[in-house]
Amino acid sequence: MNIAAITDHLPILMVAIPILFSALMMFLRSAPSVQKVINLTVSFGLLILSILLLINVLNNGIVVYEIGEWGKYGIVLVADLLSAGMVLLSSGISFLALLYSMDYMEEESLGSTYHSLFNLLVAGINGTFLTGDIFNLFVFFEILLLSSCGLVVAYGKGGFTKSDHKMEATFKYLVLNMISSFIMLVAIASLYATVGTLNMADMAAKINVMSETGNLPWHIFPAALLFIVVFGNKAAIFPLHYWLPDVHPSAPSPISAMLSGVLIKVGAYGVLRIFFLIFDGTLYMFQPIIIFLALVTIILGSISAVGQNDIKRLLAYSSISQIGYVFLGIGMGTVTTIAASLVYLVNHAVAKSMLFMASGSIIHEAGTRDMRKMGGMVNSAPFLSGMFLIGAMSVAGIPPMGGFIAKFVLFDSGITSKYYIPILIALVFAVFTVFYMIRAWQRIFWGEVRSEKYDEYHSHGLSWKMSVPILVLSVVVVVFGVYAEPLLSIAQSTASQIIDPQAYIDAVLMREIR
Amino acid sequence: MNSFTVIALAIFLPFLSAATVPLAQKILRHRVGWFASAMAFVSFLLIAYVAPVVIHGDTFTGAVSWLPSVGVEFSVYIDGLSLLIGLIASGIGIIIMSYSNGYMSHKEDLSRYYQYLLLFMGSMIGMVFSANTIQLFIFWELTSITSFLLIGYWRHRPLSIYGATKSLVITAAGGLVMFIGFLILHSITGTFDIPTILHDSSMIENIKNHDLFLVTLIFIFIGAAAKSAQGPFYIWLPNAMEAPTPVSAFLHSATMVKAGVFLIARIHPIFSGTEAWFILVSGTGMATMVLAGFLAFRQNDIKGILAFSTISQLAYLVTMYGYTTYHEPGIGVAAATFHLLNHATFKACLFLVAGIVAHEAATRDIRKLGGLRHEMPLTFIVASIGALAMAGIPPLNGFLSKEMFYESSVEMGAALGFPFGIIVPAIAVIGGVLTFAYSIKLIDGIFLGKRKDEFLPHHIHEAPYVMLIPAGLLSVLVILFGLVPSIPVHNIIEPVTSGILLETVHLHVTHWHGFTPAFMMTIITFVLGLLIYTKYDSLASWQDRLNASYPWISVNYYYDAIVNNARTNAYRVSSFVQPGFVKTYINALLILTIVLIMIPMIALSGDLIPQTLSFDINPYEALLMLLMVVAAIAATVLPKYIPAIIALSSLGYMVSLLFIYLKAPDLALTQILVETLTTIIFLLVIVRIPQTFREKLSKANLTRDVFISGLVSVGVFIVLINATQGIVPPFESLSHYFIEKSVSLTGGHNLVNVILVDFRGYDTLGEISVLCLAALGVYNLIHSRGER
Repeated sequence: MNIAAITDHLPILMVAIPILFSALMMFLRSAPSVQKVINLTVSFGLLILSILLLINVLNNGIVVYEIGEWGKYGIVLVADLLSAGMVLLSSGISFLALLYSMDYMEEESLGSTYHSLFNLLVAGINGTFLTGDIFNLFVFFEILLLSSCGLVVAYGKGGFTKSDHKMEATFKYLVLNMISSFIMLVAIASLYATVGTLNMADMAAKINVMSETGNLPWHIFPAALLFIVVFGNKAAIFPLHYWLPDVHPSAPSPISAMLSGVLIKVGAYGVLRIFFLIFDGTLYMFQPIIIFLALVTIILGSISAVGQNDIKRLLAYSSISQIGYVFLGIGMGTVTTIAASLVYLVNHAVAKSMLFMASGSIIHEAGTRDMRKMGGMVNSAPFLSGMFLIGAMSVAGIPPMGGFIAKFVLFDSGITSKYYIPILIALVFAVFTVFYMIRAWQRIFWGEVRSEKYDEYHSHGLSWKMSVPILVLSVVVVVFGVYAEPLLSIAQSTASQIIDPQAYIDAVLMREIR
Repeated sequence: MNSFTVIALAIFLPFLSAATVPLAQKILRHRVGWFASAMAFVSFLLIAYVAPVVIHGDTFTGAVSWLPSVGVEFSVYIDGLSLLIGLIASGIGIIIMSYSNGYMSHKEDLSRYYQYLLLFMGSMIGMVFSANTIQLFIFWELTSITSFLLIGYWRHRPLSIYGATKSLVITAAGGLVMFIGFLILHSITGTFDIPTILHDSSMIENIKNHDLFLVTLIFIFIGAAAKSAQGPFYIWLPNAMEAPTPVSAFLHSATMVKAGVFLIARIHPIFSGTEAWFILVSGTGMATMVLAGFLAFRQNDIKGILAFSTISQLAYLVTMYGYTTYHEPGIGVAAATFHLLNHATFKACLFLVAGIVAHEAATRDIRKLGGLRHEMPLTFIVASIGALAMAGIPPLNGFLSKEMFYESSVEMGAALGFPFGIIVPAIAVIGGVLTFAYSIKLIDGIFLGKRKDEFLPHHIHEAPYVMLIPAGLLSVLVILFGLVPSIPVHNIIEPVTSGILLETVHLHVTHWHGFTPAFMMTIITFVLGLLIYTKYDSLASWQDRLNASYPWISVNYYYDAIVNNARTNAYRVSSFVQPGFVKTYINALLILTIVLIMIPMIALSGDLIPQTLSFDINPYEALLMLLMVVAAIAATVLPKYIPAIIALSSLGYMVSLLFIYLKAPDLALTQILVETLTTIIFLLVIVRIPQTFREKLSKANLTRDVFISGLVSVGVFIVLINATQGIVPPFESLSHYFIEKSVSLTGGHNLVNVILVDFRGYDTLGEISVLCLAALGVYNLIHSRGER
């Protein structure tokens, strides 16, 4: 197959390859080392493909891929800047998380189903970002949900999380997601019954026509707003955030990195995609709700994070509050605020996945997740100390880290759009963020050495497979802080595409259909 | 080289050399400090290289593109102010890093120490030369972070950790507030560029008339006050004394704490000439000046005295920059700028002396020190020069700038009229009196009086030259600036003042002006100062008693109450909102669902039940529906598992009946199959667990649950019943396409099958994956259960 052919089929390859290899991995269970090599190669290949996809979208505009040449009547995959960007982000983090898991995960967990589940998770994420069909989105949400459940119950070396904690967390995760899946079905069914299509672009065009002529049925509004429950639940915004502080800490660290880095961003992606593409006419009702929920999320997340002793739980609460900032930008709903919230999203994804991986290594080193039992680790783990500080500074929005640029553009666009009060609230809790992140770093690395427990897991130390992903991500954090221009300009073009979805609609609908 | 390149080099050279410090340490070992001070020296020369531009009364702006998407450049603005503080930062940097060679033990982690110092110096230089607010803020926060790392240099000590946290929390929080101020300024002016605003009087006018003028000013001032330890934010600076003494001399007296003052001077042209500026800036300054000067009495640690003295002296500067009237916006600017320079010299000198004393006498407690003049005569002379300059004794530089302070206070008071004509100079004098008293205490307590042998080592040596010479150099500067004030005044103070006032200024500074009010005030200061000094100890013990009986009068009380209990309180909040029961979480989700359905329902007041709704119903259908409702209710209320499951599955079978009625036999078939299987599996599992079904539900909880689920059902029902009124014309359903094309395109006659495997085969693939996933998940569960 030549390069041109690969380029043509990029969207489906991003989904098909991981599904194929997840099946293959099941047959390779007897050869764990082969599994590792293949899976890493696949994951790296996907990263390359996702870079190609983004370049392709940047050069040639929106890429539409029909599955089966039925146009809007079948299922289409659409890669615009938002989708392609998200796919690249997730592919990058997936590859690094996978590399990290090679030495982090318990051999037995790794050998049995880990590789298959991980591939399906990647397929689910890519499928969600790329699909142009709202029912297909539902299907991929299910894949996401179940594969992440399966991965949460996998074990890292040392088993610092008890099995019943994992079960309880997964149970909550499943139950809440099942209910929100049901709500999603209700919403999709109402839409389909009203406009007679499942294709998002087609739906957008039809709803736009109805809005413009003023005969948009009122039940479209509740149906639209129900998507807040659906995506809010994925993104863990208030009051749908309850599962997150249980699930993210119980998962093994590379999976926590995936969950906090990529999976909760799926919710933000969904809101951007569905509301700004399809429900343009409901935005005036949607925005104040989102701003309100985002602010409560920020407040609850950051206050709760201050109160944690468990390092991973602290990071989990911090993720909640940070996703609140992303939604704040989305809720303010102008091109600049959305660009800002995309920049925020990317920076948080990178910094938080790095922090979760670093915390995994810290936990291995200290033999506990409890920060009260840690202390003085700077002498035994100077590398981790530096990396954790970079991540903590980024999440706290302290320059010169990427998180600062994110807070800068978010606050600046918010103030320029005259959202003074929300920005003030966001500011107050940004101070909380500085406090809890820096305190966490101090508690782990400064002070007297408390943990005398250097058990067998200490001897594993930090293999290159665990330190390289952390290092790469922190380099990205610093680069985004020092020279953010490429990110900013792509975010701005993406945001203009989101605000004006006509290009997306045209790209899908202006095609010949058999 | 043009000025831009030179300054960019001066900024980044310290950063680069910080990166090479570990390498240098490999070669130079414990002498690595000389490498650092050499780098500081190069930075100093680079900055001095651009000085002629400024001395000739010009300014320079240069920029390179950095973040064009958001309109931020990397830009450099060279004027008197940036030059002055840039020279102080690098100049004191040379002295401090040389001194550290003697002060820091060779066993310390020297490379980290010098790295942090160089990083700090680079950030400080970067901050003062920043031409835009964003770049300024970035370097500003970098100085906060490096300060944090340096305060916590001995990171195993609880007090270092406490001091480091406190400084970061206060300065970074203040910084964020200031940042919002900058952003509001941006939204008013449309630019981040400071010189653009400074040189555009219509823009400044626009800012002053804007609704958000006051908010912007207060926000930016909070940042400056937090950094310069003014007002209630002073509390971090005394705790910052946990840093190694050279660090305190460098960051916490001579340079970093001047950042706030620098910012006040920088934004002076924009905001001054308003009442708000005077009240806020001078008001905060005066209050801080008097209180901090007074609180210095209570300190036993000589670094503590110096810390409070720094706060009080910074407050002088803030007060002077705050002196403003409509006609003359910058009454105290020249005095403040001169004092800023002088303070950097004599205070850094005193800190270095404190370091020497602690190094040789092994204590910094002023109660244990005394009579060291015989053993350390040179240190004694250096210290006396520093302390007397601070006290404002002629002919030292402190005298000159304090005179100018008094003059400007008189002028400001006169401009305000009675009673301020007396109050403002009186406050200035009180500040001077307190300064005089604690300056004398430093000399008296350490070097004069009797040697307290019981607390001190037998032999105390004179300080080594590596530590003495840097301190001595500073005292030479103190004398030089005092005797020949025209050197600093013409070369730097005049350009700074002109830059701030935006007009050419000529200053004339001499020791003798005649019997002016300022002279009288100086005399009063000396007399009162000596009088107060006789009561020094009793005032100190009165403060101790007051603080012991009323702990709440201290700002620290509130800081500790908030921060030390933060975790406990936050934990309480988080366990309240996150009780851990999945039921609470489900309720939250459902309530949100209800609200989201209700909002448009109320806002749009559409018809809840569509008018097109047909109420024709077939009796069979009605009966089936009724039975379904009964089965659903039974499933919820039946008290045991098995009957409940049977009720549930009967509901499922009735759904399949409904499918048959709706002419969808294959769906019905699938439904029956699925229902049968799940019922069997469910039963097989459920018989293995205890059959007591329900936890006790209180009546209130039950009502609540019924209410919530009822509302959700009604809401979803209303939405769906509206949706099922058919596709809005002219749109039509996909099914037309499928019916038309299925045979020609796919060759299949069973439409459902064609949709599943052809039109939406991709969905089917996804669903198959879901099934596999479920299987894998169960496998994982069983697998892990088996072991643990």
